[in-house]
Amino acid sequence: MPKKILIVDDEVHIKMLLEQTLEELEDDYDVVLLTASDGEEGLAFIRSEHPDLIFLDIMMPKMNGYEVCRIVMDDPELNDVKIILLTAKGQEVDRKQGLELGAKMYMTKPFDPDEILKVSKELLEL
Amino acid sequence: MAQVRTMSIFKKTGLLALALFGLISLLTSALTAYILYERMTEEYLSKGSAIAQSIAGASQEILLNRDAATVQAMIDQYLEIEGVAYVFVMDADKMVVSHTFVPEMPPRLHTLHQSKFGLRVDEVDVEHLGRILDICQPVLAGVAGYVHVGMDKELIMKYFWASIIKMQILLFSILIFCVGILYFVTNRISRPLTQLTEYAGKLAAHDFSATIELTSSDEIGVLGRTMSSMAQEMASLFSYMESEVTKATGDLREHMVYLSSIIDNLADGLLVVSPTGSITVINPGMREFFDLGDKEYVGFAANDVFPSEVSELSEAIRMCDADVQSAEIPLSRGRIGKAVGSSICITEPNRQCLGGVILVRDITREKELDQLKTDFISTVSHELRTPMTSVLGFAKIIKKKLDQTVFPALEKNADLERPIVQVQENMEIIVTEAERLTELINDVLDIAKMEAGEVQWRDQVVFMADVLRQSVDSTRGVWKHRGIEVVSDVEEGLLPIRGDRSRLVQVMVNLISNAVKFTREGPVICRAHMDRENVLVSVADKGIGVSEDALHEIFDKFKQVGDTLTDKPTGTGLGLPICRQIVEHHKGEIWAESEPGNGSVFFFSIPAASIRSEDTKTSDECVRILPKPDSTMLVSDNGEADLAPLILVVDDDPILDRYLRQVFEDQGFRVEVAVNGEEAVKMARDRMPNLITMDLMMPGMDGRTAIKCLRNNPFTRHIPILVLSALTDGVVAGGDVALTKPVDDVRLVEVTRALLLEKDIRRSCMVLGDKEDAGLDKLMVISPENATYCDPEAIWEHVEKGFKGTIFIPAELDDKIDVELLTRLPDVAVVILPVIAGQDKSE
Repeated sequence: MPKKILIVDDEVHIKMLLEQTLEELEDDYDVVLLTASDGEEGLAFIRSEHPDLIFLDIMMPKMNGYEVCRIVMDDPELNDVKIILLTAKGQEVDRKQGLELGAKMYMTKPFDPDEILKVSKELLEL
Repeated sequence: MAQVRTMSIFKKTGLLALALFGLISLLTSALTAYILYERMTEEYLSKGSAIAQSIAGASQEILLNRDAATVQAMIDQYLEIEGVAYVFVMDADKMVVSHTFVPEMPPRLHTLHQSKFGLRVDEVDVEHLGRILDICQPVLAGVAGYVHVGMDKELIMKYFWASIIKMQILLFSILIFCVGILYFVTNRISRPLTQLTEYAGKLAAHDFSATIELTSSDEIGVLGRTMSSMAQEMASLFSYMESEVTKATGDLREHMVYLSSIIDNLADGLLVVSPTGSITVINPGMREFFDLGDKEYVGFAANDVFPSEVSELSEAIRMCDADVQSAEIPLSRGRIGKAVGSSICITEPNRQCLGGVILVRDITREKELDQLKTDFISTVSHELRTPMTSVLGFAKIIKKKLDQTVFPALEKNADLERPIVQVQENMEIIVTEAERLTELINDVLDIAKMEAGEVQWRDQVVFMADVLRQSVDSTRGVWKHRGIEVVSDVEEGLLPIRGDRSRLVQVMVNLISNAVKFTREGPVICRAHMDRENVLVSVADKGIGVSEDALHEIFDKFKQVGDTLTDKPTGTGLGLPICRQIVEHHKGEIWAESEPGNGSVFFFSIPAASIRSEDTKTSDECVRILPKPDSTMLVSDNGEADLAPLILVVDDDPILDRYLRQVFEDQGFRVEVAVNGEEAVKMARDRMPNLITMDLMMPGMDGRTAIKCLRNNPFTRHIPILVLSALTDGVVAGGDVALTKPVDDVRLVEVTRALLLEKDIRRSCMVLGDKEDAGLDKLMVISPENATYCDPEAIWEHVEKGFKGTIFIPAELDDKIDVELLTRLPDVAVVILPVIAGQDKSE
């Protein structure tokens, strides 16, 4: 059973960046990458695919990252998903809010591709 | 009344005088009459005896001859004499020879005794004649007979009474005359007295216009004049006082109007409540904020008029037992107000609580501006960071791809060697510059946030030694890389300061990296020592130094001395301004001393935290509740690890307790309830809950103190605390998260879950110290095979490498490790082990 990583971000470049970064895992381990461009699409993917790890942008059209996070964490079938929130906001309040919602980690842009890899490996226990 | 009393005085003296006068006159007349009586009796006696002797002398022969007719003629003439009642002559045989009685001699007189040898006087009562003095003169020693002369004693009595009556009449005439004169005189005296009395009465009734006319020069006249002048004096005093009172009243009224117009024209809303909670003052601003209209609200209970936020605030302050409180409250029409409440308390002459005053300010606009600023900062940060992410991220990926895949494939082609090196160098530049740009963005946002007051500053006890060590550790990469040694030297017994540890670390990191950046060879020396009341920290390097002129400018934004020197350093030019902001926030100073070419020293000093009395008091109170931590505490934690999380609800409101219990139990949590701080601290120790919800305002020990106690105790400090409070300063009280009442249950559950997750104790355990010393077997908490042991100094390396789990710290190492920093790490739980290890060693 491959481990699934879902990337949810409306910014094409960021999505690409994450994809390209995480491709390395796809090569080395049994990992599948999925991408979504907004919160609603992301949520649909989460429901249908039940990914193991989600990179979730906060500022997105249609449904923002916090809402997605909240819905996922409230769903008893989904709340074992590990969520990493990605944001450009650096305020402590945001960090706190994110973690209160049940996200595992809160990463501030710009992030280091190596760190993304490291964190993903740890959370997926690879 | 006064008149009656005056009259009665005269009546009394009159009566007394009358009685005395009567007695005297009675006694005088009696004495006079008695003397008269005595004199007359004597005179009658002598008169009678003279008559008797003359008759006796003249009638010796006649009697012897028994010439009764001659005797009769002789005695008859004596009858004419005043006072003579009768005369009769008896012979030696006591036969009446002749007498003057008509028609016959009373029989009583026949029985009179007579003496032969001289005069004899008898007093006898005789029929028809009354009381008679009988004088008996023997003639020739009784041989010739006896002469009896009767003197009329009734006559004497008549004179006696007549004289008494005359004298009494005379005396009473005199008395009446005297009384008349007395009355006249008293009237003369009492009239001015009455006048004076009337006058005094008028004065007493404040009628100072009344006059009194007394011309006499006697004491009463003097009294009257004195009273008159006194009245004038009083009248002027009264009028002065009246004018003063009128003036003072006027001033007071004016002042009241002044004050009330100030209150009425305040842009802020003002509400004053009495200690009983009723409204005493409410200004138009306050009415407007809450759309109260013109109705009279004074006397109403504040709770009935205002929304719960205001009434809770007024409840908190009205009894003068709380500090200044502030809260954000919703106003009418969607506005937001900031309410500040303080108690009104007077201490002179004695302590008295007058209630509380609440000032409400409309901060809608400020909030909007604040929001705008926040939005601006977050927008800018978003708009800058997102492209930066792509630039930096792709650059790194390209670099990696090139290094790993492309370049190895091209290495065989010798023509490409030079371009490959160039591309490698250029990629390096792109990455470095992108990183620098990121740093700049971070710094700009940092300083913007600080200037906008967006930064949440922690207020904790900070030991500068920890800050130095942590800073040196975290800059290790930089200085190791450049081959420069960084030495830190901390004075023994350095006092702690109060502030935000991570921000102070930021300052130190900045100063150390600056020093390293501008230095070619080390060492860089970091010192911390006491300088009077302050903790003085210095970072000295042997670098290029700073010119005199630049020393003042380096703390300004975008001033970098490197610009003017050949050795152009990298940096944003914002590091030192940020340091200054942070240090100044801690009420400290930052400055630099330098000699170009010989290095520079950067100093900052921050006031040392005096161990505040409040803290001492708190810890005293904590010690009172939990005298000594004991080792049994940890066991319960472990024993119940598989059960549902235990939540300790601390609130004095039973309804809220029930509600929270229901909410949490619905989520499958176990719930315990404590109703005050003291109970909470004890239950936390005994039951070791996984989370505590804490109300701040409670009877007995309040929430704030309880949180301090919980945090002070090494065994309970890891328990996450969720503050549920009506006031908005919950986080400041020391909780992890604060929710404002009324609590939304969905949000409450979310936050609770987040806190429980954050503090979840993980599988891996790490124990600081040697296996032998830690004495874990006594605790039976950790299965020894699961635990790893590590040197206290090495823990930070492990943490940096991403250690997640529980760190067990023996209590004796507590001081050496920055436990608070460890607890703040998201995936690390900290447990302090009691001092059993130390006992082992001593044995």
